Amino acid sequence: MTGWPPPPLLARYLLTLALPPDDRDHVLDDLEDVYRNRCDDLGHRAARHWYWRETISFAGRFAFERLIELVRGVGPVIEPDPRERRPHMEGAVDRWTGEFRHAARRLLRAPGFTLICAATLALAIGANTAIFTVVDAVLINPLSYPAAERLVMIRGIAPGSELRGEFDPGPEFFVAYRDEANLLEDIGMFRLMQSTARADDKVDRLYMVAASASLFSTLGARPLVGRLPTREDDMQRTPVMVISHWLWTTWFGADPGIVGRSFEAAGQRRTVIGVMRPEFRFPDARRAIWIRASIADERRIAPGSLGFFLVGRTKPGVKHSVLAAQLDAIAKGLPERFGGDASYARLIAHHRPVVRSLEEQLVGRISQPLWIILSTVGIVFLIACANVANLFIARAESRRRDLAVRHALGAGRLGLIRSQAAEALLLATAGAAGGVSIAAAMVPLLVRAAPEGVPNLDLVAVNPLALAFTAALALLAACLFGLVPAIRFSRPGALADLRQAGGVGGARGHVTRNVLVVAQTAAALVLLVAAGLLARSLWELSRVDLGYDTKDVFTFQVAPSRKELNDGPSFALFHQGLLERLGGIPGVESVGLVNELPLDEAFGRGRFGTERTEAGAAAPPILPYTHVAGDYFQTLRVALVSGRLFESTDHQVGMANAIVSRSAAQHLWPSEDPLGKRLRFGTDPAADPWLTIVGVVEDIRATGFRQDAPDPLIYLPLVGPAPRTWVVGSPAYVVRSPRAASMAADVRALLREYAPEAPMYRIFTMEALSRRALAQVSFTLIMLGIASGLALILGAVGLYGVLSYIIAQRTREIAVRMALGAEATAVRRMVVVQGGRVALIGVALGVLAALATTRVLESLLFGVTALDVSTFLAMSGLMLAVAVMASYLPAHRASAVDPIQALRTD
Amino acid sequence: MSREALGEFEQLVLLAIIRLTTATDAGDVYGVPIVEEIEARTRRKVSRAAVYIALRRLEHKGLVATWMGAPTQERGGKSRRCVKVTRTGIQMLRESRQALNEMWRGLDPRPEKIR
Repeated sequence: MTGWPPPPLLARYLLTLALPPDDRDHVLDDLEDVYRNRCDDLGHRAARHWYWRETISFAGRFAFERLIELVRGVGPVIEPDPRERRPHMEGAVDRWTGEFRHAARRLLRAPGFTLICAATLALAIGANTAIFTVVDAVLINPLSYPAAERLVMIRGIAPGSELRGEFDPGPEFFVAYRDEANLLEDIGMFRLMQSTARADDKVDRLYMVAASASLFSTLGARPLVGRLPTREDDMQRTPVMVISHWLWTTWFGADPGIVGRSFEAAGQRRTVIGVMRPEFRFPDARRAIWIRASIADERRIAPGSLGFFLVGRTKPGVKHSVLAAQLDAIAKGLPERFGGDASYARLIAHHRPVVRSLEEQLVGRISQPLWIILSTVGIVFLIACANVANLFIARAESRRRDLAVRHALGAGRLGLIRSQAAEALLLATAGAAGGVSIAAAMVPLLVRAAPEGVPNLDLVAVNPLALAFTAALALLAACLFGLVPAIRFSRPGALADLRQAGGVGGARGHVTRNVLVVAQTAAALVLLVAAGLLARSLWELSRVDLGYDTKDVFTFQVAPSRKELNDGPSFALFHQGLLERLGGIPGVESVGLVNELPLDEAFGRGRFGTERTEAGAAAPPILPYTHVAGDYFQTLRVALVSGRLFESTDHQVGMANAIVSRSAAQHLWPSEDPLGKRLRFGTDPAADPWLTIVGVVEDIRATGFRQDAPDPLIYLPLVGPAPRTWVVGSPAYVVRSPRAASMAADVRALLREYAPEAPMYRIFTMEALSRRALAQVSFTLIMLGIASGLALILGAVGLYGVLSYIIAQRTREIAVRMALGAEATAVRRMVVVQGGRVALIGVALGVLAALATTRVLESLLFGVTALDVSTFLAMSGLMLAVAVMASYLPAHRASAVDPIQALRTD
Repeated sequence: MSREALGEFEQLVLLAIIRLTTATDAGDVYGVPIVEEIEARTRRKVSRAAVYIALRRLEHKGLVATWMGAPTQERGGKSRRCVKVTRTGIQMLRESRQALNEMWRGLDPRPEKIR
């Protein structure tokens, strides 16, 4: 009952605002009671989520209820006899329905006005609802583990050592943290992998996790069927695995007898002991198999092999900084417990643990763009409301006589407000209905355009919560654009003005409308600048030289499996044969293969010894490496700097050659000619023979466009110096052809003949991979682009509306001027200057607002600063140009006034 | 009929209050148990907010009466807003039931009999 944090403060505050005073305290107390019970039963996270949902439900319903009470005049007074009240209430209901009927009729009589208002609102509400559904699924409830706020990811940094940036620790950290960190309740270790799985006639490359049994207890996961790995499994090193709900249903038809069956996964026959629940998606939704993996002998860990992910569960109330301090102290004792060489001791001396919430680690990357997009569409919503408010004011002014007559006939102020509110509510309802359909259409597009790796995307749907959000937006919109003008125009003073002949009384209307246009212009400019900055970034990113050419390259992988494929040379023979046949497909210019494809898979990392390191001059460095064959370099157009590329003889046993990238050469043999130098893949002179450098190639940016500096990279041939040194099982093939986009069928046909048992998978064009690498920026840019385009149009329409109205009001004055000899150009200039002045104030304010806000984009930007002067200038210019264009139409109309006609009609 | 009949939801709320008040282990009758009682008996999810709004309306109509109960320890000394059905409330419930019974009398609406 105790010990749980209180309900979310913001939600409580919202409830305080929404609830009527006489119900406030006890409803809040009741909700808190239930909240605490839920904390005990379902965990704090779920309870918090529940509290938010209730807040939305209560706020929406009570806001509506209070509106009804306000209109009916029912106060929070307790009436002893219900019969006394009823006639009054019936009257209120009748009045209200009558009001809605009239409002509907009035709106239908002005179809243009109605359509523009409803469409504007539908666009704004639709965009907001669509983005909200994504934010709700991805950010508000990303982790479905009990007490997920106590889950942390433990990484490390070692500033001053040879390791740059953050890294994931090694098994010795896991063992030490597990044994010694008493602030941790539990800790699990895992690695991510992609490997082939075969069961019956099914074979595919699947995303897998190799995890310690404690990973599951740390997360608090429960299986749907069977059991989870235990400490005993770890100790006995049993080859067991649990499979995902998706794999269970698609591969095994949800067979309830799955437990105990075994099939091949990650190179070994393993037994299924459990099936995870559909909502278990750790660390992402693609994972299909979690194989049990543990440390062979904890007493004999070779320290320093990093790259294992650690997830911990803190004890309740432990702060991250406190945990980090304890882990730091533990890590400092690692060399004493596990040994290690001098470079390891140096690493530990500089090492500091990094503790971060699991949620931040998993959704941190995508959360920022999503919040940016949500605030962007929020701004569009406000602009849309300002626009509709403008139209409403104009309409109210044109209805002055109507209102004045109604007032004179005895309509009370409340009645006048009610008639405006009825129109506003009807329009908002139409807007909401349109908005929901727009959102329903937009959500699938959003999901498809979203960058890879966004958690829970498959759960995104327009659900009741989203509908409640839409309804709340519509209500808010109606209040913003309907009530304000309604209250203003129903003021007794305003109505007195209205009795005068049309024309003079609207001065206050001008001010309000000008203020609205200034605000719209400013908001639109903020969005334009943001979109401009992102467009610049995307442009700069697309100009980054990756070091290879992604155009016209088709790529796929195969995972052959035959008895005779059992060592390096036999696999090499298989691949050489396939390379040759692929080269025979019409239109193919060159074919190569690589073990890890740039932009798709990360390179392996290994320790490499050189003569220098063995002489003790330096520690053997950890460098990325991969295996290549065929015309890999020619196909991706990686330039040769010196020496030669691999030849087919390099792929035979005993030809122990290697190629290095320019920066690897620089790193290993600074200011020396690397050709002919030797390096060792490993550090054991007895087991790892020397490899001779035969060529140097240009650096490449393998992980993507944002990579600061290219990785130093070692290229190894298909076959090691001995048959068993390494086996390249399922590399990626790269095929250069003008028909790259449509080659899959040809390759599939060839494979059916050459290797019918081998699955073909990860089929892409390199161009698609490069688009994927840019997805995060391009996704945000598309959203911001659409939003700022909408904002620009709405802003222009708003300005146009205001000027048109002013011209209409001043027709008489303009006519007199022209009758007295004013030039048409002078009249035009006068109007454009008037519009320009309003727009200029808006642009000035918009620039200030943009200066203050574009900083939030910083992490998405590339090659351009958040305060880029040229973008600011260009977008301000664009905004002004659009404003002048929007003013020109009314200006033209003003100059075309026929003085005689205008003066006669009045 | 001159007076406004009770809605189905209002009837559910009133009946839940009466059930809770007359239960042998009756504790305080307030919002939380009312929601639980309706959900348990009707086996459907009800909106908590709807229940509180119904209570508010029923109170305005004089069909239920509320008062602040004794302070409880679990709430840190705060008290609950307790509720009971008034005489008029019971009267209205009876009338609603009677009206329904009248409508049902002699009917056996099996699907095949209704076109």
